[in-house]
Amino acid sequence: MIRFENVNKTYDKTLHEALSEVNINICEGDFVFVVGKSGAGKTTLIKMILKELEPTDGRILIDQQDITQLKRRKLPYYRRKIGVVFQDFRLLPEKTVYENIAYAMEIVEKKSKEIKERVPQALKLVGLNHRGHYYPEQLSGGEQQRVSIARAIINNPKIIICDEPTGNLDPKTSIGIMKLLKDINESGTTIIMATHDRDIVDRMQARVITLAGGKVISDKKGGYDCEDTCY
Amino acid sequence: MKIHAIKYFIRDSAKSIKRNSLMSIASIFSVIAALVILGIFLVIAMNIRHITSDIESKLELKVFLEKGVTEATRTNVEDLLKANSQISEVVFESKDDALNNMSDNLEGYSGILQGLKDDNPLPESFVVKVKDSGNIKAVNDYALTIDGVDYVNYGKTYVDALMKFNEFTNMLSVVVLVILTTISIFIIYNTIKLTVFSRRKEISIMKYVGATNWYIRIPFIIEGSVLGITGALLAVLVVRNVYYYMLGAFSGNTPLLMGATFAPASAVLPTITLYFIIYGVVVGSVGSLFSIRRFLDV
Repeated sequence: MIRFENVNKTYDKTLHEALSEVNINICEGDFVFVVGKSGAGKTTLIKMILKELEPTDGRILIDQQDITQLKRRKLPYYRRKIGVVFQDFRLLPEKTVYENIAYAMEIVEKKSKEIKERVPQALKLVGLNHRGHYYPEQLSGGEQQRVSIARAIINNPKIIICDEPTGNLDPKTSIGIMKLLKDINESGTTIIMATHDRDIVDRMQARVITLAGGKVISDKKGGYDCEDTCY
Repeated sequence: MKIHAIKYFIRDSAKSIKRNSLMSIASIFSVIAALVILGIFLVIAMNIRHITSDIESKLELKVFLEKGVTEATRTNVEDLLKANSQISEVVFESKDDALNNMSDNLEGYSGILQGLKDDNPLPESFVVKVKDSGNIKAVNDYALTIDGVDYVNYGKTYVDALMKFNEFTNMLSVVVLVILTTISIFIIYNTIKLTVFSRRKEISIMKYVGATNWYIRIPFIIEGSVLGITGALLAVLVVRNVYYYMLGAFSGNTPLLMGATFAPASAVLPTITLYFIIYGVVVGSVGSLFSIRRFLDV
């Protein structure tokens, strides 16, 4: 489903090599952690899947389509296949929880009848069915992240990208968020999560891609420093 | 475009104007200021055009006959002039008529003119009016070909000077229009840029969720256009009141030049209103388009 073929990325200005000869293959329905220290290339990798950054060379195939060749005007339609969850939630403070989620549907021009049906379902799924009329600032960090997950899944994307989704949350809340992401994954959605959180990775026992200095140094199933199945 | 999308655009633009009310008012005032100055130029240009066409409609040629032409030649000249389809009116002016007219125009010199009565040197002529002032030169050339015609006078230098002045004011209006438009676009551009900047987080979320660039742009373009049109309509009110005041002050009918008057409000104001509204929309939307461009590159 997602395939990186000999992907390199060098930033023009600093000539810093952010990714070097990256080859990854992620199948539909996978749950993949991308781990590594700051500056290892996690964010660059994620931004490339979102086509926010272009590789210097190499190919990135999503559903057999090379997205490096994707025209700019087709980009919005491509992004509708992907849900994104950020560390800082990125909710709109002047909109209620309900409106924040509905907004993602309005933008892709969904009918209001469908919006009215789907938003309460998504709120229920993330366990916030009675918080629809709250504003983000009235919620705890964990609850805000749940809203952002509801927004990410509302348009039924095939892939969800999570950039340090538990980075701002306490361990107990993080476990709740991971359980929610696991449930979403079990319904067939591919999840790629960049994280520093060793505990979470160890607990989930999923596939872990480790980056260092822009290179993939390991790609295995298990914990943070796993030695198990090799991909 | 779906109806709910239109609803969203309108709601979003209204919210944004309200949220940035101070800057919105500043933009509206800048449009008013630019348009009032432009309006003054337009009013002057339109009045000059009005006066010129008024004068043109009163233009006449004087076809002078050779000295001592026979009755038959004179009749022939008159017939040929009347036969021309571009000519609307032909009036004969005898030597005596010419002298009387001259006496009326030069009252202070009646004594000198009195001496001419016995030996009148003034030539006989036909006063000719044309249907379309644009044909005045053609009629002039035609009359010169007729036997018995000495020369023709249609105030060439005067008409040419008037036309040149007309061209100059038109050109000046265009220059003023370009300068003021640039200033207005720049001010609206900055206002919208502030709005866009304050909403950059929202724009980046929209981009991540898969909103098209036009979906993001449209509310900002509406916002810019609303500011532009509001400024334009208020400027129309200002120009309208000033013009009515001016017409009143000059009693509306004061002869300015060769019996020409101010252009009536009904001829000036609808045009200005239309120009201003188009101007408001263009300045507002172009300013918005420029200001949002950079933020769409996510």
